[in-house]
Amino acid sequence: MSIQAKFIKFHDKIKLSREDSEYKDAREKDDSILKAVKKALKEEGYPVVDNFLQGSMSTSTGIKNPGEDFDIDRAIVIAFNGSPDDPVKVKKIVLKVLEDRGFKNAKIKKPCVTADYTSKNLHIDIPIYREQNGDYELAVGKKNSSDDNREWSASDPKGLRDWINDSSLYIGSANKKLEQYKRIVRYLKRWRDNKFSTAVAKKVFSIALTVMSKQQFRSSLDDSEKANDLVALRDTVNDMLHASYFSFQGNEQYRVRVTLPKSPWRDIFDGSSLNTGTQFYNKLTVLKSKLDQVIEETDLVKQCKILNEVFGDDFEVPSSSSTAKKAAYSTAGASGTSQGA
Amino acid sequence: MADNIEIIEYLKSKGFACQELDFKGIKAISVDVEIAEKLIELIHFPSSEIAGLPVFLLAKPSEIGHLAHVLNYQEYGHDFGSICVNDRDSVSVNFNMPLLAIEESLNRHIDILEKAITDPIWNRQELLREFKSCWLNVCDFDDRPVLLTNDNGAVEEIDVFRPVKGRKFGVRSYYLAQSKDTELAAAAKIYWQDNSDRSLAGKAVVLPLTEIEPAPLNKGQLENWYLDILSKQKPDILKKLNDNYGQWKTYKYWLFFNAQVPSGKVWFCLSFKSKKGKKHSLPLTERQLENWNVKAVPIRLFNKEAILPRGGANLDLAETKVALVGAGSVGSEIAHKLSAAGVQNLTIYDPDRYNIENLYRHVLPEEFLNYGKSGGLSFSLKRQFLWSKANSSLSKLLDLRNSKLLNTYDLIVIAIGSPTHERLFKEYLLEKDIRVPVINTWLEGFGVGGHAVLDIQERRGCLLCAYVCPDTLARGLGSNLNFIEPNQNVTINMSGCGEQFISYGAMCSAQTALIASDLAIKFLEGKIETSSKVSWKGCEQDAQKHGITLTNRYYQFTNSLKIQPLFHEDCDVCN
Ligand SMILES: [Zn+2]
Repeated sequence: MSIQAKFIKFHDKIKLSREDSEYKDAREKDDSILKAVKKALKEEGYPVVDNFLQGSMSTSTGIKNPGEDFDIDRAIVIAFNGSPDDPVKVKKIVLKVLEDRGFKNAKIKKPCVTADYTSKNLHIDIPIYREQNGDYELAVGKKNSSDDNREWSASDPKGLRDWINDSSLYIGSANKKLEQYKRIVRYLKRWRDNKFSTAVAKKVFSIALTVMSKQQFRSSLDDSEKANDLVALRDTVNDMLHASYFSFQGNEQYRVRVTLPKSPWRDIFDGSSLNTGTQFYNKLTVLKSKLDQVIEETDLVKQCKILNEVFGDDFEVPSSSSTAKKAAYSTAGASGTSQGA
Repeated sequence: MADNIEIIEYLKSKGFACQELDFKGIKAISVDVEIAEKLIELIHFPSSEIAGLPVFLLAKPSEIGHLAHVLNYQEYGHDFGSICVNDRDSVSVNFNMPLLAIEESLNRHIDILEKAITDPIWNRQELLREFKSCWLNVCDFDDRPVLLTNDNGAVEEIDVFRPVKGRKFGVRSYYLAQSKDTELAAAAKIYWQDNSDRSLAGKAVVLPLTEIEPAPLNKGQLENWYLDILSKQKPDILKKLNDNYGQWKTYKYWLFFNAQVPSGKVWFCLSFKSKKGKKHSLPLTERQLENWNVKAVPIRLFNKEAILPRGGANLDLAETKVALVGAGSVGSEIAHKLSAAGVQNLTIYDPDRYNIENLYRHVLPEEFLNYGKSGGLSFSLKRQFLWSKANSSLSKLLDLRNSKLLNTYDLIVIAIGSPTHERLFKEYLLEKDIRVPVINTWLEGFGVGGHAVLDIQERRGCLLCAYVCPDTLARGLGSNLNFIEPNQNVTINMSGCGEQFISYGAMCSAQTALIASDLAIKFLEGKIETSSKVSWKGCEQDAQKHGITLTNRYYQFTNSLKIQPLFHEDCDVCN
């Protein structure tokens, strides 16, 4: 059995997708909340013209995290014409819908309306946009923000999603390479959750890992089209370290800076501390050297031991390297091939 | 081009004694050379262009004796010796510097002559080695050649038939003499032996010589050479000849000699024609010879040992048993290549009939339309490859799931382009533990490439290694060798359902057949001992034009035609 088989097993364990049974409750809540929000906004004269998933669910980069909430990022779009000048006005309508449905801690945050469904381990984020000719503006502002802090701010949520999902620059087996990239995002998220304290982990933003690894992604497929996630991850992490995200601040400290590749082109780490940057840089450096070690190592059990230490117990360590493999059959009913004679 | 004066001045400056000559108005250059105290004159007729090594002819060759690599001939009423300096065609000549070319060639001519003159042992060996070309130099070409089929060269008396009237080409335009026990393919025998239009021309005797002398220098020496050779044979051969053969009285006799020379076994022929229209028996003495006119005539020998190696075929593959499943565009080419390599026992399986749509990517001609592809193919193989014993069957791959049958083969080559059937068949072999080596080969559409895998059951690596699913590492449905990504519509539909086809040309099927045949032959010859894979990569333009996307393997692949290990570390069968 190859190390890649272990990576696939690990990935199957940590990946969270909208189709997963664990996600069923969240999906149902999402559907019913969406319905209620649409109804309320329509009644107030702001008909919803579009809605879409944002965040890791829209890019298949979500991971399970025991003890943590499931996230729903449901973007709501209203028409530009007829939208109120005050963006908080719309947010208050959505807030009321959530409060009426029994969400105790529903609140308006700067970029969205959020609520927790404690009994379901569910966390909901609802960003609200207005749209005109394909240009989106995000409703920014808290309940009690001053007028200066309330604005419809240019944003490109779909552009970001499409940028993450884009495979047009990959030559040959583009889809396989895109999938490998997404696995790498998930590995990095799990590594972060395993290696940083909860407080710091929260500041090593998922979107930052997603953007950095997208920009530095180095695919690795072997001659049988089999992915080599180990090498791809090592190469990508190496390039992340050597790109210009981290700037040395003297005294063994680093600042991290990652620009959102789409509007509003902001620095994802805006206001981030030197501690976050330094920990991020140092732990990423350790990750890279651990991956180098695994690549050097030829014994499967020893390889898995190192990876278990990097990613936690979801990365299994087999009892021996030479476990006989059982015949496993394709889960597809048929596959079109180009084979002829 | 340098003129004669320039050449002469140049050669003189290099120490040669030379001068201009006039052959009835044609200017030539003569060079005098002394070798072993013999004065030798070389003649060069300048040409308007140097397109090969400049030629120097030996003047008055008969005065110098019988030299290896020198053939006598007449020109401008003079005798000349043509000197064979290597293989002229394989020498690359500096035509930009003609004087250098002439000097270099002259030196090469002199070296050959010097060796032949000063080393008589070498000279005789070389004369024997080149016996065949020397013999051709004394042959008469005014009659049709004789075609002899003979495997062993033992003493034998054979009927000789005249060519079929009006035939100018092919075997039917030859005199035909067939030994009794040759292993020729039935198809060839029947086709050739079509004696209905042939009449008996006379008798031939096959005579294996125990002693051989260099071929005669000219036709005038033929009779003496013949008597001399007879006198040098072991007495029992002559007695056998006298007692058992050549007693038949006829107007025409042929003697088919075979003898061992340094370059191998040589076959050559003398024909004897009765002088006064009377029948006589084979002449073996000077007196008997008086009744006959003797000529050396060319023969064409159809003999396994002579023809197969000359064509690059391997005699060791004669006993090998190979099953070829699929006689389509790839399979038919494989059948051809395996037969050409010397595989004689080939069974071809294919249930399909030969269709008009097949013509442009198949080896069979139009006569075989509506014929079973396998039957047509085996017939045509036996016509071209005279020792082929190809046979055919209309069975399909899945019909061959019979361990007794499969175990009779040394190799099974599957060229059907059906991954489902091929995987089913493989699972049958696994289930029944049948250990026959199998090659699976297929091509992909739009000219992007083709593949072949050799599965030797005793060795690591199997067909399913080439089918490990890259994503799940389980048994996959399409091969991981493929250059085209799965689940795309690669067929072109010209006229409705059942008429779809994968777009590829005859080049692709031939190229795919070549990698599969190469793998097959190398395996049968013992040059490959591990389960292997090989691919060839074509260009992507056509696929791109049809919006077909290709795999990473395609873009990274740099090992076209290279045979590589098949083993996949995630194959459940091999781990
Ligand atoms: Zn295998």
